[in-house]
Amino acid sequence: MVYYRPTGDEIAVFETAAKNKLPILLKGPTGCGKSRFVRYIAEKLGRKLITVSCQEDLSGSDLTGRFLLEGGSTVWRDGPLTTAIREGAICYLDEVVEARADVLTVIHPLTDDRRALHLDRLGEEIEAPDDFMIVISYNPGYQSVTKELKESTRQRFVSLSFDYPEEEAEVEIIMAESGCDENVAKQLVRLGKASRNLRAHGLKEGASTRILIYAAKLHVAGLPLDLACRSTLVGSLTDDEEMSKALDELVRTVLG
Amino acid sequence: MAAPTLPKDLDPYEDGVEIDVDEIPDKLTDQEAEEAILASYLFSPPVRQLVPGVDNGTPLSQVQRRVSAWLSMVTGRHLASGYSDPSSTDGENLFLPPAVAAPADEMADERLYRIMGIIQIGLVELGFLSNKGLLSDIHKDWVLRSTYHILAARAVLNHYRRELPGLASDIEAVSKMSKAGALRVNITPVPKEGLPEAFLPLYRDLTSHESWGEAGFSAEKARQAVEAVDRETSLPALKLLISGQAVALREHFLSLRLGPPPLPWYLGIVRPEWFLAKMGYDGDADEDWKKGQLPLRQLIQARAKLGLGKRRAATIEGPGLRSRLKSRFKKKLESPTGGASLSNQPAYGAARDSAQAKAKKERRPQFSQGLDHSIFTVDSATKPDEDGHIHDEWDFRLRNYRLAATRVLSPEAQGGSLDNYKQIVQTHKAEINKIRRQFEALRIEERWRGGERDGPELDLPRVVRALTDIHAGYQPDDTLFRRFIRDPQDVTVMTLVDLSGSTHGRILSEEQRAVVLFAEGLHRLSVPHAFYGFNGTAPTSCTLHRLKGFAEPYDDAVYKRLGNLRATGGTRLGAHIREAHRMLASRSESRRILILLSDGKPEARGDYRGEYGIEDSAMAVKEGAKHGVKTHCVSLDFTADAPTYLTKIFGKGNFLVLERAESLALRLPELFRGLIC
Repeated sequence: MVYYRPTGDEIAVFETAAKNKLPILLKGPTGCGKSRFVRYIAEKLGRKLITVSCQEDLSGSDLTGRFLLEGGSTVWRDGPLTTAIREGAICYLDEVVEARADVLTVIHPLTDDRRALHLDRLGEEIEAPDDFMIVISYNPGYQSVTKELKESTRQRFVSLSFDYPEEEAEVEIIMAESGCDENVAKQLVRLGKASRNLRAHGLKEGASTRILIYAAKLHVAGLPLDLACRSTLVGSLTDDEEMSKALDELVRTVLG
Repeated sequence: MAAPTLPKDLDPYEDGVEIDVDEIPDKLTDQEAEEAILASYLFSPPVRQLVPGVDNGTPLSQVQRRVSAWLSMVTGRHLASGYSDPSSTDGENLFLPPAVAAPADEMADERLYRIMGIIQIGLVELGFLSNKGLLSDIHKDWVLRSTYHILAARAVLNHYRRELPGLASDIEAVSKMSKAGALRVNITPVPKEGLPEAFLPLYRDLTSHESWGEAGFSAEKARQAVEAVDRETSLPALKLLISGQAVALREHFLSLRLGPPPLPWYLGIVRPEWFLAKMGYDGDADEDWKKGQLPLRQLIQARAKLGLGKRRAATIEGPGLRSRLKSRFKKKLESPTGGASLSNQPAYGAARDSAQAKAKKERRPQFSQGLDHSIFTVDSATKPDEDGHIHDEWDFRLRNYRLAATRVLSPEAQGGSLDNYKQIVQTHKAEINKIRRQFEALRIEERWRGGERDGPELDLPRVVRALTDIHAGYQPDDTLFRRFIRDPQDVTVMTLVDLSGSTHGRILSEEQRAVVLFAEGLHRLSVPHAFYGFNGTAPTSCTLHRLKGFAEPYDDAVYKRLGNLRATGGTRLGAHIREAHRMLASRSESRRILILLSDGKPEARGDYRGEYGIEDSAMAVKEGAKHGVKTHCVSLDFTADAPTYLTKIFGKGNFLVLERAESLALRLPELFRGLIC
């Protein structure tokens, strides 16, 4: 089973929402474990997971399906959303704010009591089975006017907020994911936590748990820890020269 | 004698709190003298002494961003920055020297700034400056203050050495720097030669000197104290230990007829009076500390007796303390609920209706009938007056709007010399080019867009899909072309610049620079934009000064206005935001952004201050959000509570507090880029 370390009541909330056929919205910063949580919970509930990474060219028909030419005839191919409905799976739309507006229009009827998808090309209305569930995620920390979820959309979902795990949990996660020892994990968590304080200095986000795991993996694979940290934490967090220097100095003072 | 009390509404950091001892009558009582003198010491901005001379080491400004970022990261505290020599803190601001002594070595000097910063933050963070009784004691006694400071700073350094293994080498390097270890009592330099040997153990690992030999018997107590501090790792135990050891050492030094042990310069200076002022100001502190240091009081009394009570305590202009206090007390007595308070007016029912009718007659404020309020749909909420627009104001105490409470005028701003604008552009050519290059990428959406009804090329995947539909017997989609689009961004931005009196000086000049640089960047970007300055004190004379309107092209008249900002008045922020939202709401663009540059809390004459101003501004921001206007703030408020009230007004993540004013010009375009990317 995929590794996931609960950080709060998220499992209970998700399971209860799933029982009541309610859609879920996951909010949280980059790399804090939103997608991992969905994978874990899908396995736990024994449901198939279909993940769609949203981007600006993703249209409604990309989700629902389309006709394709096959030999001399045409065949209908379900999109990931239709497939999820037919199979009673969890459809996970990752970073949903990146998608075009019509994508949200398509999923609206699936997020209320109708729980149905109308396929106009086929003239068919598919009713979602009880096991079907729609999960969307986004990162509210982007602060961009172009990357916001409308209030009317947000209110259709049960919301679960994620943040970086507590120190002890993060140490445990890093050790489990990378195989590093506790001391290294603690140092990395210390670095991660400190870098998150840089948000007051204009950095949009601090080091994610994911990037800390990368650093740990590089170290376990043989790179010195300071080099592993500089290649992951310092390089990936900012292009601002001054902030990079401050982060570099942080790595030195924390690791010694 | 009862301890003197100072008025609660006296702002300890208010600009221009001026004390003229000359104004105090000769027959002053002890209490009055204390009050006047202490006020000048305690309720005045922190002392800022620039390091004299031209051959300084690395100036703080050169490394400040890195140092502040590093300190925030390792301590988790974001203190606002200021200047003081030696370094100090009041718990909300970190004061570092504007420059260190020569020679300049950027790496070593940056390390020195970091250590100075972490000592000051550590003293606060670890709770060494949180005990009122102790602060009161060290405030009155320099020997105790020095002893306590040295031991507490040692404990702070030990703590961070353990927490941050890499810091040990930095501390060691700093302790060996002669410029860092120069000794001082308060701000007076003390030579290292001939220092009493009883003091010497206190400086172990902090600083050293070749003339210092082995410490003899008289140094035994100091050695034991230092060793005890080094041994102890539990923080609560350390606090008790240090308090006790400091008192014991004080007795010991006094028995040896010694004064306060001087401090290595980089340990900075502890100013208990600043913390006590804050505690006293907050309400329940023991007032005894205000009696001040005994020698100071004796000096004042002696001078008064000799007829020499003319000690000038601070720069003096305008009315003195006594007249200020008198007028404030008088005002308070006349209006115990705070002047124009509405708290005794009926909020609902028939009583309210009649009050409103009466108020209408008397042109006094009225209240909204309910909370379902919208500035753009309720006629009475915003209507053009002969000279501007009328807006309501949110009164959080009544949970209701004061109808038609403010009027916002939006005249053309006063211009000035064109040279000012040109000079800023000339001086900042490199920065402007950088901003323009960054904005070029935002200028237009430049890409092939499929799914068009017409265009120079076929959108092949859609053609295939259409053919498939035809083949399957369905009506095909007719959006089969693609075209290269160069659409302007569907966004509009209005920048509101705080031109209230508080910005006068450094903030205004930074705002001026930022406005010109931002305008130069936006000029090249095909995004409709406007610049307005805001100020105003009275509810009916809030003003949005038009620096550049949406429809105005860039010409000399606009340059003259943009290049000549003037500051005066207060910040009735809610009204200004509502008027800006009204202007933006009428725009056709789908994304409307309001960027606010401000330097402090929304405060204007009357009761528009504190929670009232904050709550009204927050409500104005919410009203705008309902109508698709996104409001962001760039704050130049360097006080520690800025993030708290900015979160209340703009919401989490919708503001940016700059660590120094100089960075505004470049951070503003960055913020804008972040908002629309």
